[in-house]
Amino acid sequence: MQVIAESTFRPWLAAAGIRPHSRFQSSDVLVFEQDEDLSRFWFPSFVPSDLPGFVLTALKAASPD
Amino acid sequence: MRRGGGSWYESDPETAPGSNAIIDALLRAAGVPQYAAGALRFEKTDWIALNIVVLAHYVHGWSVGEDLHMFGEERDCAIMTSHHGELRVAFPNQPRLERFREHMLRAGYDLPAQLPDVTFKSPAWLTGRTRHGIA
Repeated sequence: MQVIAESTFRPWLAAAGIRPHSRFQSSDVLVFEQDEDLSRFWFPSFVPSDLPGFVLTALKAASPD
Repeated sequence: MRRGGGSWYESDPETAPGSNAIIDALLRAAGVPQYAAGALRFEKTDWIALNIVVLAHYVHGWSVGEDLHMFGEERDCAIMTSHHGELRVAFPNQPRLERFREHMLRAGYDLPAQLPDVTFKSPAWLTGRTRHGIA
C-alpha cells in the first residue's frame, strides 16, 4: 500500500479528464469532462456477506487486468 | 481517496462518532499509516487491505465525508461508494458504460429500479427505466 499526496493524485486524474462536476464542485463528485452527466449506480444485494463480492465485481469491471 | 480528499483518520478521535471510530480501527488493521492523507494505492497483493478499507467506509460511513472514490490504473471509470448505499460509477463515454454494465450484469447486478431514499434526486436514466417498465 502506498500513500499518494492529493497534489499528485488530482492531476493524475485530471490528465484522464476526471474532475469535480462543474455544477457540484464543492461536493467533490468526480466525473469525466467528456460527459459530466454520464453515470449509473448499482446496489449490493441484501445479504451482508455478498458485499465484498459486489465491490470486487465493480473493481474488476473498472480494471479488468 | 475519500470524497473531498484529506486525512484518512479522524482529526479528533475523542469526539468522533462511533462509526468513525470503528472506521479508524479498521484502517489501522489494514495498515493505513496514522497520518495518511490523499489517495491510497493498492497492488493486487494488497487485496485484503483494500477490502478492509473499502468495506469499512461502505458499511460504517454515514455522511459524505466517508464516501470513497476508487479508480483503476486505466482511469476510464470513476467509482464512488455512497453513504446512501449505492455504488456510483461515472464514465467517459457510452461504450465504456455498456462494458461496465455487462460485467456487473454477468455477476447478477443489474441497474436499479428505484431510488435509495427520498433524499436522492432521480437521474433521467432511472426515471426512464421506471416509466417504460424496464425494471
